[in-house]
Amino acid sequence: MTPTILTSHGVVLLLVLVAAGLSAFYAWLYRQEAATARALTRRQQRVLRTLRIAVAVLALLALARPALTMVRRERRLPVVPILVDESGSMVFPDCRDNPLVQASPKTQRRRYDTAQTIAQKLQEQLARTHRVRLLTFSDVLKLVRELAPEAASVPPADYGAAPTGESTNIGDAIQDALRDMAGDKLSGIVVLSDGRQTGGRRLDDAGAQATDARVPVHTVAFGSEFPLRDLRIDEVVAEPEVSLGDVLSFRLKITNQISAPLATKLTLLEEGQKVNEKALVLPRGESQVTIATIAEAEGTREFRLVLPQYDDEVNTENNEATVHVKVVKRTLRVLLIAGNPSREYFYLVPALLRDPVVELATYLQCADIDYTQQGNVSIERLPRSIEDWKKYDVVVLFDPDPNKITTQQVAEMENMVRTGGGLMVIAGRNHGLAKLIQVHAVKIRELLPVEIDKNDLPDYFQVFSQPFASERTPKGRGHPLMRLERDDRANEAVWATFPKLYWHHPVKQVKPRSISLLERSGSSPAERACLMAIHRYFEGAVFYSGLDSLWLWRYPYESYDYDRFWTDVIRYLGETRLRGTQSQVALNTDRASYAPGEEAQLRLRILDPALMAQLEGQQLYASVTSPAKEVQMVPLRPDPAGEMLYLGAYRARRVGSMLVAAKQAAPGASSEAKPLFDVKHTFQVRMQSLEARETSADLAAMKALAGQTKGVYIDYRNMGELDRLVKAIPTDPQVLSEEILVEVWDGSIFLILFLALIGGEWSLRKLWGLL
Amino acid sequence: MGAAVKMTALVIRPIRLIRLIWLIWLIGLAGPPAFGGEAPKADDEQQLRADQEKKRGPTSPGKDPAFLVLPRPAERSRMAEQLLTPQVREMTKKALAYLVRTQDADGGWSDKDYPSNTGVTALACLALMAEGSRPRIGQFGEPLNRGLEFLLANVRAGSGVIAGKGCNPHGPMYEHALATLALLFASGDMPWKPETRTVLTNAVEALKKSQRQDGGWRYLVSNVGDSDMSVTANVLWVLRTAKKCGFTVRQESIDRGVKYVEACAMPDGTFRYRYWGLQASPSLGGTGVIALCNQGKIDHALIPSARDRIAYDYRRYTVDDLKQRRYAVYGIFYASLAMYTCGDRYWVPWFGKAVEVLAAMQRKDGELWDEADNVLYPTAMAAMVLQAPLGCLPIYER
Repeated sequence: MTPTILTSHGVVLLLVLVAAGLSAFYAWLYRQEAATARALTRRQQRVLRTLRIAVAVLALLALARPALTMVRRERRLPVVPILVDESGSMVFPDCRDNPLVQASPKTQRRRYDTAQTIAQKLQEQLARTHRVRLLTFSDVLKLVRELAPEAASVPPADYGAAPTGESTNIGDAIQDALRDMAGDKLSGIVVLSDGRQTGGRRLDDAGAQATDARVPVHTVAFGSEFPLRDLRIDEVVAEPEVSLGDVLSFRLKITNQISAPLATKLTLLEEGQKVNEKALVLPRGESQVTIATIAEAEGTREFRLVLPQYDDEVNTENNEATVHVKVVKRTLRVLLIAGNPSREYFYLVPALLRDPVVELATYLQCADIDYTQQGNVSIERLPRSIEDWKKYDVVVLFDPDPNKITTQQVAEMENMVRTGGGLMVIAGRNHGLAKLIQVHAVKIRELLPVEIDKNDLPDYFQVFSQPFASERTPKGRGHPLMRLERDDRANEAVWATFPKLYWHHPVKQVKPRSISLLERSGSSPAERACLMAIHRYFEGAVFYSGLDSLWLWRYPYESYDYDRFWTDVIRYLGETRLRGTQSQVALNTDRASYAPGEEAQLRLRILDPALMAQLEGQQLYASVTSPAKEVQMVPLRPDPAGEMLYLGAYRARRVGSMLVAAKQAAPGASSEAKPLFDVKHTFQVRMQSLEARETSADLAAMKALAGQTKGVYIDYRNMGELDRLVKAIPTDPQVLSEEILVEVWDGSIFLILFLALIGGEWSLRKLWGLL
Repeated sequence: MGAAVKMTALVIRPIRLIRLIWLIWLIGLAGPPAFGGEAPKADDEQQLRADQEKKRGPTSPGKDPAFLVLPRPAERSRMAEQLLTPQVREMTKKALAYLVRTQDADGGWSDKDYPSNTGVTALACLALMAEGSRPRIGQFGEPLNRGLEFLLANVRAGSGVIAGKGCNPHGPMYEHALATLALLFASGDMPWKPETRTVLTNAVEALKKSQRQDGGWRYLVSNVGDSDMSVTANVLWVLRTAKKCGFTVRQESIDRGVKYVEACAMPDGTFRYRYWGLQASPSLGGTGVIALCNQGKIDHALIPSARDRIAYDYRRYTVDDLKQRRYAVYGIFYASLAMYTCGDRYWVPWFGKAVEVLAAMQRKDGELWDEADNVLYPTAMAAMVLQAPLGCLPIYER
């Protein structure tokens, strides 16, 4: 307590003058009363005098307004706000490795449920030492309740409806909490969230603000760093049509977000019956898987690809996919015209006969006149009209005798190739191609993907005793025909086993738009003669091989690679006829769905290097058709990185299913000619919730926020350390101090004293007869 | 050649068969056993196709088929890499070097009992072809070419029989059949010899004309008299190859030959040398299997027991026992053709034992021998056996 006077200095001076005046007056009064006062005793005079002076002093004191200053102190419990995320992402299942989740029933395993459990535990522990405020946030901060200090029991809170918040604004929630509770002492802020912020103030800014306010932010993260537990089939690629008896392959893109690795199985059902099953070991994330079956029944068949369902998967509908494939009884009709039965012929014929899709007719030119030609179909003579030639899908000319095939037949064969057929030319030593060009110059020259010197006739007296190695050209390495294994390393291993060769047909040069696939190994370009090449010839394709001893490749794996190589070439050449369309391109977008306003990247991947060469210099377009049938043409440009890819961009405006189509005619082809490719793809444009875009928790952000503000971070890995979090929140109370001014004169004591003194003096005067 | 071949007739119980190769493939012979290790794994498509074809079994598509289409392997076989050990390669190298070294100036080959012989020459040519050489192409292209030209130069005018002055005194059919076979394989690779086609036409005609009443063939190029199993099997083999090369061979002719082979079969899997014989020869088992398989009789009832018999022999008997057999290398050669066709389950263990026997019989200069000390034809036959895993000669088929 500190005494003080509330009156100003001027007034004090006045009071001094008044006091002096009063003293003079009292002196005169006492002289006047002296006669009367002579009857009083000295003691009585002293008492009266004292009383009167006391009254005057009291009156003067009152005028001076004396006061006392006091400090009042109040102790309060500190405040801990618990902020619980109630955005849409909190509905997702929590991480299975969280011990709280494992202890919960299956219906209460959402992130929100775990958050409520944690919030309840925290309230129970903190309520004794803190004032706990429970709040929820999504885009705004809302108070759920404030617990009474030192509450004896903490009932469960009523959070209201399930979390449906459209966004997660953790930064805003922290900022709002700091602002709203600025007057309280915050021991810390506890944030219960998955950390996946979708808007509002940046977390590091909010963290900086909390650090400035010396308020640590403790974070408890829900969910895991991995997307939601899900095993799904993202994409299935299969031919829309397949030949009866042929292999039907399904290429799947599977995403595993169950565990790493995951041993599972993929089942293929045809019309409900299991036809194949494949054991898989999937890493986390995306994997490419293939599974195949033999198409044994005609018609449009339903194939279902099924993965097992796992507990707590966020979506089990995507564990299977259904594809419809049309199985057609159709064969690839191949005509093999061979001049003589060389060693290669002995192995080539059974290799082609083995393919269930190939219907082979051979014509051995040197055979006896009454010989029954070999093959699935026996023919007596070569085709003699365009219609006859068109009955074949692929023709193989194996070192033919040019004198036993007419110019007319060659022209008709050329027409067959031009309109989509395939031609394989295998050069041999018997007749050679020089002679073939001499006899049938124009058409053969045009058909071949290489230039042959027509004067370079075979020298039969030359002995070829020096072996040479062959190697795939850089373009050949990427070509599907040179791929004997899907896996690159396995493919290289197979190619490395093939022995050296001794003879090849001489080639002048490879035509500009042709692809050289295989060449003789050598250090100089002159040594590196082309051994195999291919090019697109109008709607068809022509393959050239200058080797007639590929049977040497039957070492070491016997007919495995040898047969596959030949049938792969035949199928490649006959693909247009077999499938009805070229499948050497793939059209897709970078994502399956977009939000309005986002840009979809269109990708036209060219799978055939020969086709890429054919398209060089041409302008390609893709059309995008909206559900309202509005068509926008999007130019496609070659990939600047050099990949066999054309890219285009389309900004999605309308919501719905968009159809992208790409079609291209062969250069110089008539409008009625079949296009080189005609492919389609669909993608979706739809309104997307920000909350559903990314299903993994952002544990790193939550950890960073806690670290920045010197708070504690807890996630599923250390969920049992909640006590550590509680202990980290200080219990220092909030002490509030208040200065209070008490005016002494303005109190009952002062008044009573005044009245008592005046009354006493009057009473004594009366008593002693002065009044 | 073959005059002294007197095969012990063995008794085989004739049984009506289910499809041989069916049986073989169904019990897993079609695909060679995986040796493990580094061969790249087969993909699903190949596996599916292989399973499908295994169920279907071998086929002979066409109106008058010459080619046998066997089920494809489900995965890459390591058989060749495993069997072609350094020892085998060294033995082969020595054998081939011996053949090249001992070639006559006129391009032919001569053996002790068979001088300047088209049969021996044909076998030597086949051995060089088994390495991967072709006429004038490859490591042995030149000696091969000379050998083939020798054959072409030893065609008997009028008959078309390819047999020179050093042929078997009992008759030239072995020589003629083997020479025809060698020329058939080479005919597509000898454009500087356009007459080859004509020679072969006449040679095949000679074979067709010398089929006997009982359906078989014998040493003499004549259709009179009894036949024998060994010559018949060889001729059937040649006729099938001729069919592949565009020569017309009537199915009736083949069927009669097969019937003869069947008639020579004994219940225990061996074959008699003559159909009325009493004793069988182990060496003929292979010829029997080949004769039947090559004609598309892949499902023949006789084949399993013949195959099993060969397998048993090579398991049961020691190297010395096998070495001491009459015409041991001849027997090994024909057994190799049969066992190769039967698949790796039989082929691989058999080959291992056969190599031991051949190794024991190979002399330091590289030649092998028979009991009459003929060395060329055994060396040529052994070289073909040792090089079978290379897969360069179409006589080894599966």
